[in-house]
Amino acid sequence: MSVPIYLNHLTKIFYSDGIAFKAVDDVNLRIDAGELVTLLGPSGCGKTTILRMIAGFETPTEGKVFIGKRDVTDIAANRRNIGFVFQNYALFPHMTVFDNIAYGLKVRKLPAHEIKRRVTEALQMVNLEGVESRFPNQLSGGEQQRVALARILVIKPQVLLMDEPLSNLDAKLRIYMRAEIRQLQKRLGTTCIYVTHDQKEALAMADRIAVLNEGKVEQVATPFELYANPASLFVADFIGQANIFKGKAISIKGEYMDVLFHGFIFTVPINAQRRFKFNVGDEVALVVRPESIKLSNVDDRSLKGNVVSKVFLGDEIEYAIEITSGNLIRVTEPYSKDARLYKEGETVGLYLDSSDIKALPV
Amino acid sequence: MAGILYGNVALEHPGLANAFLLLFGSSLADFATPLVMAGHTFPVLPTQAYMQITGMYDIQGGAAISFVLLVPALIAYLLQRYWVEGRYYVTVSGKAGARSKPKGAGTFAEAMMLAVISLISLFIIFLYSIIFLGSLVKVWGVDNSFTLENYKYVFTVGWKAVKDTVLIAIVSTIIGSVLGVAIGYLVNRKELPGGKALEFVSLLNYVLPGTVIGIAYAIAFSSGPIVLTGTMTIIVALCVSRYDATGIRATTATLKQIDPSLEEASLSLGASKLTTFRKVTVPLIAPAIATGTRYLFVVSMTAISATIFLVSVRWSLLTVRILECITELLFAQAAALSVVLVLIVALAMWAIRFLFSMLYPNYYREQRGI
Repeated sequence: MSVPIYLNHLTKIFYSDGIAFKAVDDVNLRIDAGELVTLLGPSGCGKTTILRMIAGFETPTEGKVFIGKRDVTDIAANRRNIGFVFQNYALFPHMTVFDNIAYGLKVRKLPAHEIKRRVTEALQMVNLEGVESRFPNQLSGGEQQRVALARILVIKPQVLLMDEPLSNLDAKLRIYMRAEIRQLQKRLGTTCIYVTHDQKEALAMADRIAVLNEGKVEQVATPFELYANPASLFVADFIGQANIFKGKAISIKGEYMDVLFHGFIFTVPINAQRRFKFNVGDEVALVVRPESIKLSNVDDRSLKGNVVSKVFLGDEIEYAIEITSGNLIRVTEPYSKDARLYKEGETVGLYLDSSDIKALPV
Repeated sequence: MAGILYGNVALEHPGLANAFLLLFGSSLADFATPLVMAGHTFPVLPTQAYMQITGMYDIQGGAAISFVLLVPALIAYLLQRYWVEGRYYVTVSGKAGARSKPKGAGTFAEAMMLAVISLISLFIIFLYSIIFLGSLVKVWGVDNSFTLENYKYVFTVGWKAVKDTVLIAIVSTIIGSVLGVAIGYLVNRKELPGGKALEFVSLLNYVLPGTVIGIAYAIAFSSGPIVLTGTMTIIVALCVSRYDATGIRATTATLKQIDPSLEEASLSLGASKLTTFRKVTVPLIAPAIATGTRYLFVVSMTAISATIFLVSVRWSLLTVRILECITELLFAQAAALSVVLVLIVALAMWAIRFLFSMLYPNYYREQRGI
């Protein structure tokens, strides 16, 4: 029963006091049936607006929304058969848990015994039983979240839309709930779009992530691909941590390019990368993940630097190293009981494999 | 403590501003009190305007006097709008937290407040007792023997005024309540072209002194395309347009405190806009509707400053009747009429409360904090 979602040239312009603001800028996206895609980006990037347009709470300025084969762009929110989970849960404060969950069924005029059966079933599904007669303000945040989920699952929506559903929960519960939501979504096979600004949450839950910036889609890819091959500096910087050096392309030979950076020449692969076209003389950004850099003793050929700070985080040790160019480089080394610890002020050599360097246009 | 105080004051901000508006406006425009108590020894603008029109048949002169009243009333109104405008007060979100209990002000301060409030209450009870006692004697202060003659007067001579007033009040209350919710909702939840202007105009009627409005209605509908002089319609129209402001304001204030995501949740669950309005919006603003409804009924029953210019042989009002008794020095009869008026209002208050607690039991559950 699950259906794909298509967004075609979706654009939303808001006007306030005569000033136009392009919240969503020509977004094209396909979400496959049964897939969970997260919309990830900083606040104000348009992710919630996209979700609200799919739900029918906002009307697109341009473009179309398809749910399955159906163009829903001009269809009212209550006729789209979607389930929307709000950041603040949006439980009806004047109704009991039972009435909250039964709401969508009563609207569909189901017989009372059927409603009762399905509400009970939905509460089981979210592992919350025996609270039917309570009111929302008598429940904890996690329980309210479950009720909000049950209220949606009970109407068997074709599409699940979630707007930062976990941001009001504490850290532990958040991790627990995200696993639970993901399992539930997989089991039901419901197509899901999940909005978050928390990259860990996005990486943990998504089949694919769409990274948004200033209303535009920067990249859509699996979490692994996104991390390994960011398509833009924004994505590289936004997903995980990245050291970014700006150098100059001095020669291009087939699948490799030499980039000059403060007296060092890095030979980086370009063909394995995306479709970027580099020319000799271009400014090029080199992206290196902190865990790709190895620290060791200094030798003549190595890039050198001084340890500026060292932070022990348990599973890893995080160093900030100032290299001769003055750039600060972040390096993380995994914890092991034999790990060598470098002291602050110590001069170290930095080693990295050229295949771990990604070249991106500036 | 300062934080709590500040937080509370900030949340109560619309409430405080409204209270300010209410008190200022009503003192400025008070009509019946100076008329009965002071006569012409302490002339105020509203009574002067009335005298000018009823005593000297000089409607232009009356209009001119009442126009002077407009200036301070408008200034107060604009100040208040500037004060409250453009702030955001969502407190009913879909994320239900345990509702926090307001912190007390401290034992001493509470005792002081209790004392002050008790004194005021005692004084009010004292006033009502006098009216009640006055209605049961022959001639107050002269012949204090017990009699029910005054009530006989109410049910004979005064009966038409009682019937007319109750009918007008009921009709005004029903029309006004529906209209109040509709306007409050449209202005707050819909991108209505001219919505702000609609709200402004609807409140304008309220801040203008009753005398001004009454004279304006009398002039506007006595000739020209719509002639309503002497009809029930003109009195109802005045009551609704003038006193609906409370209902609209209460609806507006409550809607501002309700997170729109609740309505969106209802829509996404498949409910139509109408169902959403009925099942989610209205129950959540029920307290505001109840406030507006009660207020409308009370003022429709007790209004005089504006309606006095609109009564006729066909439609008479209790309040005007009471005033006539006083000018004819029939104080005991006036007292009996007043007692009946108070009883009707009290009964209606109870009935409206009962009705709302039946219709929206969960709201009353919430209010009791269970």
